[in-house]
Amino acid sequence: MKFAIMLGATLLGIALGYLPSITKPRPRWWRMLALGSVTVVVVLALLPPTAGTVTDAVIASRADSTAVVPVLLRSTLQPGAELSSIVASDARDQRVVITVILGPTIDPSLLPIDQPVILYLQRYGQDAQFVAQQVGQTDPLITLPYIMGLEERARIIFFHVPMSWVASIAYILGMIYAVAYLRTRKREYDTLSASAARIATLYAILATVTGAIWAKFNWGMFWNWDPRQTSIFLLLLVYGAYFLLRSAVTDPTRRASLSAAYSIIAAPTVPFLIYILPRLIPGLHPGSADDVNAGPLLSPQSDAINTVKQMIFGGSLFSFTLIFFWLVSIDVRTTVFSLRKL
Amino acid sequence: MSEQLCSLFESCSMMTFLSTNATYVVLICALTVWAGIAAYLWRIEQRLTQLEQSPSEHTP
Repeated sequence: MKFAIMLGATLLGIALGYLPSITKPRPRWWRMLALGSVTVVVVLALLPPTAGTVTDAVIASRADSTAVVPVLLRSTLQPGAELSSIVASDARDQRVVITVILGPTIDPSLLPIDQPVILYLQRYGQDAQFVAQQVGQTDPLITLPYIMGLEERARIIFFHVPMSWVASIAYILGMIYAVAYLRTRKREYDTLSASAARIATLYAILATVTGAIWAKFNWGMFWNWDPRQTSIFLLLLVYGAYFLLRSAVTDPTRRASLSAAYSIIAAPTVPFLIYILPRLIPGLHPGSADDVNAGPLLSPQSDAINTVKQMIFGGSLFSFTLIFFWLVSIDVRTTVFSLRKL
Repeated sequence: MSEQLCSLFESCSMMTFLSTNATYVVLICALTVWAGIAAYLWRIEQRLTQLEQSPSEHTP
């Protein structure tokens, strides 16, 4: 299911990217779809609250007794004003019943009864006893799963991952156009190959920068020379050399064949540097060799990404693929226009 | 030098705010993505304007 959503979203994005040929202007419906889906993704990535289960709260408290975990609960007893604690069940599994002591900042009369509500719980002694520190949203429409150690920071998956994902597809696309150029010697394929690599590099830089900002708050430093950071740095160097090569050769035909050949050599390093190398070496990034699984996206047994999150992630893959094709289209048309003017 | 900069950042109340309200870290990441795309659009706009203003051999 997870793989079907991710693959389907990417393939749909690529198919729509080619619906009007890349060298043609984007129709109005296409532009509205691209901008609309990005807007929906940004809203869905940032607005839904994070809410875990009682099990999440128990596991988190075993690692750190002061951990405060948002849990979606349903209170089963009417709390009187004098009551300082309520009995509540896990909203997702009614069999799990816990006692919640209301913290000093919570007004018991304002607590919703028999409605799912997010309470920020801290364990108090036993496993089934918690102190509620704060009241969150009542009856949230959708919630994101609680991941220990990542919490709200897990939302970066909707912006950071599509960047490197689309970048790797784009570099491969650039290589396919390079092969097409060498076979047909049509100038158009050289332009397409260079444009795809250019926007792919923009995406790879954005993946690096968003990752570094996130790393500051999750790992403590902007740059840790984590295997993942090192490998994308190498990738940027490899493609930095590609653009250096292109700008160094002035003869257009020679530039086209040289950069096509370089692109064919460079592209096979992309899956190696993005998908293989960081999984072979122990590191901080999710999915490293010492992680419990292959990361929330590729691991078949991981529950770190629930159906809601999968759908939003699929939407973000789709919308950032569309934006990629839009940018490539603008880039190609500008280059074609400049060549015609010369 | 970088350590000095880091400690400068640590003492900043903005950093404390961001580490306790992590959703804003993700918001900054989303804005970074937007800034990157916007910077690219800015550049391509300049390139096009330059092309449009340059005299063409084909026009009389």
